[in-house]
Amino acid sequence: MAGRRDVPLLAKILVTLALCVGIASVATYLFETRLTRGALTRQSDRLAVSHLSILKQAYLAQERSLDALVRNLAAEVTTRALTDPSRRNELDAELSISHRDRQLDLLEVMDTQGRRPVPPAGSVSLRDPPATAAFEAFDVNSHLLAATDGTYVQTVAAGVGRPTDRLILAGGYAFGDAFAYRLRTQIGDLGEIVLVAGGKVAGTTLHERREVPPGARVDGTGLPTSPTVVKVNGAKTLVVYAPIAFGSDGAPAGALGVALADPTASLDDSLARSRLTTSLGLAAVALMLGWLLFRSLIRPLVRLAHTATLIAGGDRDASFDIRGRDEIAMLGDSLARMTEESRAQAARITDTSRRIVGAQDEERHRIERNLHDGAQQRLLTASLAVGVVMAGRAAQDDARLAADLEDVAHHLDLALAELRELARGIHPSILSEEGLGAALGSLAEKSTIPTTVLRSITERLPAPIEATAYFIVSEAIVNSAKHGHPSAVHVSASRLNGHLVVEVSDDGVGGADPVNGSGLVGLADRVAALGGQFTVESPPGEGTRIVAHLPCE
Amino acid sequence: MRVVIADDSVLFREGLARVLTEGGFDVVAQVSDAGTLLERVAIELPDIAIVDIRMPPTFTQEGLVAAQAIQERHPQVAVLVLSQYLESHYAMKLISDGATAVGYLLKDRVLRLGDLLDVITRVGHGECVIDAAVVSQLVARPREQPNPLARLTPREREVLGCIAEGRSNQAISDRLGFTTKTVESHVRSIFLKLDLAEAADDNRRVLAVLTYLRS
Repeated sequence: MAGRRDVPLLAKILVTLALCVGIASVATYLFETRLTRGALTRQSDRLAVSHLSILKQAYLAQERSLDALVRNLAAEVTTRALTDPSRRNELDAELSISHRDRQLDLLEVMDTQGRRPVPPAGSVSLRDPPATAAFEAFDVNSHLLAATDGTYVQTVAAGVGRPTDRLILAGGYAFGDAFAYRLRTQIGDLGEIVLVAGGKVAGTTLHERREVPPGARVDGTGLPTSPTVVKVNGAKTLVVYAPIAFGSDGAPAGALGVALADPTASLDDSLARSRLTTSLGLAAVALMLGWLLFRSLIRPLVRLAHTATLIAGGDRDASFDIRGRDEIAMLGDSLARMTEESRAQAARITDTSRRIVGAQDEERHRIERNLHDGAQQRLLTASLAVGVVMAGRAAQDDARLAADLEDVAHHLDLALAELRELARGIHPSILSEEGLGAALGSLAEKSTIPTTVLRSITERLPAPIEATAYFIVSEAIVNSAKHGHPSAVHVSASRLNGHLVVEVSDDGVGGADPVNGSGLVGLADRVAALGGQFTVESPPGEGTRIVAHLPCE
Repeated sequence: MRVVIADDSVLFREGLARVLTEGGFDVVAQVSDAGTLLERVAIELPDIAIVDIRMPPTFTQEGLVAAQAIQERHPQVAVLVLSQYLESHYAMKLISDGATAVGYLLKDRVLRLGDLLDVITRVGHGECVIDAAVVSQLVARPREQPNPLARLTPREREVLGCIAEGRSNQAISDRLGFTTKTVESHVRSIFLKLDLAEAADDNRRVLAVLTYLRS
């Protein structure tokens, strides 16, 4: 209970608010990230596909220009009848020039059996000639064909010459890095290019050298035809492929691929950062608003609680500070009235108790005076008379009379002594005349056990305070002597913070019961009537200590 | 010896006056309150004023106050306070500043007129007298260990009581039947054991011993 009470209301509310804002932020973050990631993915997929189609256009344009080139050359060779075996040297020269001018990686002429009537002029040669049967004059076919050095060549082949001495003219670009860079330049650096032939990377603009195309299975098959995210060079990369350039058997011999940096890769960090900043900002704003809002509600309550605590703790000056006319103000008003009423009641009770105590003291004083001036005085007069008789000649002469008189004198002595003690017990005149300090000294002198006044006061205090303190000490000493069997009793009286503090302690057996113990209960009542405090500590075997705090401002 | 008596009880006062007159004293005035007492003392300048501690108008300790006033104004007038209170505090008030010729006696002593007249004479001659009951209450008082009084022999305790009552060495030797020399050696021993400084005169000796006993 105490632990829960320790957390102030305002703190509870602020923590709740902060939690709400936090949860909302996290939820929004998760939800929004998914949405954003989806949108971004769709967008980047579309981008990749569109880049791929542009790449394909570029490739086709390359193919078309190659096609036109080969077609023109074929037409020229045919027209000039350079296929005639007697003019092989001319043909050879022509091809050499064309090869240099057109910057082709491959330009060769071969017969239908694949024999090369003109040797390759500084270029790669095809490993397998294109199928000859398909070639009529000017027929043109585009294929991706393997070269003798194991590379692939984008080849356009055409039949040249008369049907009797028909040859095949083939021109092409090597399907390698240079081609890839050329394509990339053509598409305006929209992404990295991967050229695939025979299931392997034939050429690429990627820095990473690899055989297996990114995204493909290890055996080089299963090229993804829809955008796929793979790791390239340690970075998340989006790849997509399109099949191209069917081989001479009609099956796809290669593919074009585009690789883009994955735009969602940076999403997590940047979004998390911005989301966190936003959350913190929101939380701060919510806390501030909450504080402002609830302060107006909670503050009066907190003030009420604080004041109530003070009052419960005995602060007589504390009063409820009530503002406004809301329910809290009503509560405060009720509390204030209840406090007022209970204070008034307590004051009435205290007044009554004080009057009773005062009347008691007054009555005792009166009895003491009556004893003193009445009975005691008469006994003294009688004593004097007896003394006179005893001193007289008749008594001195008569031994029996003298003995009788001595007897009377003895009883008078005892009577006077007893009367003196009785009067003193009812109300010691030394207390009212000389004050508490002198009266405590007198108590110590008359005590039947060694009693020392360690500390005392000399100033006078209100009569009820002095009487109460005196009777406490008196009763405590009597109790000690009767039950405690102490070797010593120590008494002290001192002023402390507007209080008179009297303390009686002994080194006796302890175990005094303050409730059922003799006159201590009546004394506790007296102390309470004066608004003081009265404590009895008497653990068995450790002596008894009685302390009273009496307010005497 | 010229005596003034102050007591508000007429019967007691007149009885006492009669006894004193018969005992050879010259009762020059009888008064019933402190104010009149001071007036008559000033006029008569008696050898001794016998004063009840409690008198009109307040019936508290007018007698004691008047006694102090007499000591102050007329040092040559001795004062014997008769009291119903067995309180060393009052006795100390009377002798506290080393006054001479004062006495504090319980009123009960009127039963033993011989003792009473003896005390009046002694006070009248300048001694300090403290009632034996007051002294014995102090001497017999239980004390915390270590108790220096326990180191005294029974004889010494007896002598100590006599000193506190205001008796001179001569008076002590008369009373206890020792020689004066024996008494003197007892007194020295007592003062040594209680670690008290030797007093200049008998009256200061009373004060020193009483102060010691009350502490």
